[in-house]
Amino acid sequence: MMFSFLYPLGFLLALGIPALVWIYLRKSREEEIAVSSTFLLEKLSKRPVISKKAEFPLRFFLELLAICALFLAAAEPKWSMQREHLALILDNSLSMNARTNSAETAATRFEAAKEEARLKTTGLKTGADVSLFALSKTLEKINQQPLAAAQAERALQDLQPSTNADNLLQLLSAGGNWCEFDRAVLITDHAFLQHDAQLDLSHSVPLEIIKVGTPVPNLALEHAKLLTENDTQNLAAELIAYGGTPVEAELKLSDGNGQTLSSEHLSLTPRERKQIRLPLTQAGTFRAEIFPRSKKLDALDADNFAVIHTNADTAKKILVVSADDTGLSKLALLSAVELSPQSYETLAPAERDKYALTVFHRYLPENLPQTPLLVVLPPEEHPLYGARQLTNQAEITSADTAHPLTAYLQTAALSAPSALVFSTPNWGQAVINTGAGAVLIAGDYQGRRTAVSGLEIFPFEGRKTPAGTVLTLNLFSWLLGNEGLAADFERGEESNTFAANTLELPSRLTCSEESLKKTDHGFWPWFILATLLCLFAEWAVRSLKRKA
Amino acid sequence: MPGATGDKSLTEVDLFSFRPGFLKQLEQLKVHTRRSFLGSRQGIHTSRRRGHGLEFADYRPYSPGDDFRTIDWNVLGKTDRVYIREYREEQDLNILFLLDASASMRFPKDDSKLLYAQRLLLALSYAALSNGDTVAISILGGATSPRYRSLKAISRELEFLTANPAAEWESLTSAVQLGVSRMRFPGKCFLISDCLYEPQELASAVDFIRSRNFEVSLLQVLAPSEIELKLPSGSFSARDNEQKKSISLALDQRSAEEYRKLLGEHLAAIENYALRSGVSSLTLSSADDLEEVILSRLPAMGILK
Repeated sequence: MMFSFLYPLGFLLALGIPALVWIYLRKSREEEIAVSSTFLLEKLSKRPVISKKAEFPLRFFLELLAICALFLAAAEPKWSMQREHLALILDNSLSMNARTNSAETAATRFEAAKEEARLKTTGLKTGADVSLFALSKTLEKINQQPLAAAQAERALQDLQPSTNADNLLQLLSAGGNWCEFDRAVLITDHAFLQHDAQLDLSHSVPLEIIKVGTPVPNLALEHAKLLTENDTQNLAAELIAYGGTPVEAELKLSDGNGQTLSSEHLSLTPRERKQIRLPLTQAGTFRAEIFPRSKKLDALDADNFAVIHTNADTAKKILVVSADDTGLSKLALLSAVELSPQSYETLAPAERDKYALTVFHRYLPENLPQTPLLVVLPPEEHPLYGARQLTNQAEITSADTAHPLTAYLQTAALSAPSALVFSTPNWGQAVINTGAGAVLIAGDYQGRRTAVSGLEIFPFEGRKTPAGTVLTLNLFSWLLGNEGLAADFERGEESNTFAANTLELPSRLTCSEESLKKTDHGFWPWFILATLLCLFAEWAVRSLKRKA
Repeated sequence: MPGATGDKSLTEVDLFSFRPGFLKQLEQLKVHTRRSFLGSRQGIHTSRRRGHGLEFADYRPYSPGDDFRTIDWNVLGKTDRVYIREYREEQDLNILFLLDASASMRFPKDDSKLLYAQRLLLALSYAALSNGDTVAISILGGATSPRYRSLKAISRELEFLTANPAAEWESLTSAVQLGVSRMRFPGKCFLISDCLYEPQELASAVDFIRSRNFEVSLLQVLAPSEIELKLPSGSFSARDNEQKKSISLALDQRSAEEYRKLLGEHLAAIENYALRSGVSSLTLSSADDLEEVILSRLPAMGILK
C-alpha cells in the first residue's frame, strides 16, 4: 500500500495553524476582566470544585481540525493499493553511444544513463516494483514481470545501447497503459521543447526526465547514397562537423574486402557541412569512413561510416514469401523485390525457379525452389537445419567475422528479445551465434547458396535499423552472388543520431481513463466533508455558549 | 435644595437628586439610638443629662435652690418628704458617618456603589440635620469634615463629598481610628462600606468604634454583580480594581452557585459578629430603591424612627 499526495503544495494551508494559535493566545491574553475586588473570587478559586485548569477549548480544536482537514484535502492524498511501480525508460538510441564529454576516455551517455537508473532503483522503498524499458526505434519492455529493485539493478547491467535512431517524441506520445505505474523516469540525452504539443500533460503518471550528456563535438557522415552523375556512380554523402572547433579528418573509401581505394584529407570549420563525392568505378559494396585527427572532436564513432552497394547491370528479382506481410511493405519499395500475394503453392515450379533469390519469411514449403534461399524464422522443423528452438538469450556472443555476411556489421547490435537457434547442419556453417546456439547459418545447400536466419530481419527499415539493414543487404548481396540489385536500391543510409543537448521539461505521459480508476483511492472529498463538519460543530458550540 | 446656589457642580446635583416629597418625609424621621448619649446642645434626643426635658428620669430630695415647679406634690402628700422630679434633658445626637471611598467602592464606574453610599449618607444626614443633630463625615483613609449642625450645612456636606471622591486605606482599623479620634463626643456611627475584606478586620475596626462608646450601624453596600456572579465561564484573568492585582480564574456552570455560598458565608460571618456585638447591620444592593431603604427598611431595623 502506498500513500502519497498529488498536490503537496496544499500543505501550505497548514500555515493557518500558527495563525489560529496566535489568535487564541491573543484572545486568552486579552481576556482580563476588571472586578471591584477579588476578595471573594480568590476564595472561590480555592474551592475544590472550581478547577484551575482551563476549560477545554473545544472551539479551538474544532477550528484546528477544520484547518487540518482543509489542507489535507488540498494536498489530495492518494492511497494506492499497489506497491510503488516505477517505469524506468532508458534511451538506448545511437546517440547514447556518444561520450559524455570531450575526453577520449569519458564514459558514454548510456553508461551514465545506467548509473542514473541504478541510483533510482537504489532509492526505492522496500517492496517497490520496477519495469525497465529501452527506447530507441521502439519502446521495448525489457522484463515481462515487474522486477524488484535488486533485480532491476542486475537487468540494467545487461542492457546495451543500440545503433538505432530514436523517435522519442512520437513513441512517448503513442499512448499506452502507463497508468499501471506510479511514476516514470526517462533517462535520455534528447532535447524536449517546453511546449511540445505531442506530450499531453494531463491525468497521467508523473514523468521525470533525467538528462545525460553534454553537448560534445562530433563528426558525422550523413545522407550517404548512391548517385549516378554522367553515367558515373558515386558515393554521395554529407560530412558535418558539430561543435565549435575546426576539424581535420581523413575520408577513406574501401571495398568489400576492406582494401582502401582512396583517401582524402579534409578540413572542416565548425558546423560546416561538406558535400563529398566518391566515384565508384566498379560494382560491389563500398564503405566510406571518416577518421578525425582528434578523437576529442568526435564523440560518436557509429555515425562515421556509410556502406554503399552498387549494382552492375542485370536487375535481379527477389521473391519474398511470408506467412504474414508484417513489415514487408517497405521492402516492396525496392524495385527488385516482388511480394507474393498469392499462395506460393499455386506457383508452378518453373515460375518459382526464375527468381534470383527466394526469401521465405515465417514459412517454409515442402518443396524448396532451386534458387538461392533465405529462410527467416522458419515455423517448424525441417531437414534444412536440424534442431530448432526458441531462445530468450538472443545476445550475440560470436560471429564469423571473415564471412561476407558479417561485413560492416555490428553484430552486437543484432541482439533481440528472442530468436530461433539452430544446430549447425553439415551443409553449412554457423555465421552468427548466441549463447544458446547459432542464429544464422549459411552455406551451400543442394547446390544453391542458402542462409537460415533465426533473427527477425523484417521490417526492413533502412536507416532506422542500421545493423538489420546491413545484415539484410549482406544476405541479399551474398545470396545473389554479389551481382547486385537495381540501381535505385538505396543502402547504407546514415543514422541521424548525433550528440545533442537536452532541455528539461516536466512532462506527463497519457493514460487511458480505465486505468485511472484502477486502484487509487482519493480522499480529498472526505476531507472537505470533514472540514465542513468541524465548522458546523464549531458554529453549534458557539451558539450554545451564547445562549448560555 | 436648601442652601443650594446656582453654581453647584453637576455631581453635587446628581448626589442630591431627591424628590421634594422624599425630603419632606426625611424631615419626619430621626436617627434612633438604643442608648442615650450626651449631646452638645439642645436637641430632640433624650440624653443622660438630667435637666429640663420631657422624659422623667428620677426623684431627688429637694435641695434649696431647686425649681419649685419640679416638686412632686403627690409624693409630698404621701410621704411628707419633698422630692423633686428630674427629667432627662433632650440634646442633639452626634452622628459620625464613616464612608469607605476606596477603589472597590468606586466600581463600576458608571454605577458605582460609592455614589449609592454617598446618597444614602446624604439622606440620613438630611434626616439628622433636620432634627437638630450634629453630623460629621470621615472618609476612611482620607479627610474628615467639620461638624455640621443645621440643614443649611447640606451644601457644605455636598462640597465635602465631591471634593473627596476617593481615598485608599490599607488597614481598616487604622483608618477608622483616625476618623473616630476626631470626634469629641460619642454618639451614633454609621459605617458605610462594601465590607469586602476579612470579617476579622471589620470586627477589629467596629470594636474600636464601640470602644469609643459609639453605637454602630453597619451599612454594607454591594453591587448587583457582586451579589450574583456575572462573570463569563471559561478561563480569564480577574483584575482587582482596588489592589491592582490579577488572579487567574477558570469558571464553569457551578461557579455561580459556589459564589453564592461564599457570599452567604461571608455575610453570615458579618451578621454573626453584629449580633454578638450588638451592632445593627444591613446589607444593601446599589440597585435597591434608596427611598424604600430609608423609609422602610431602616425604620424596621430601628435605626430611624
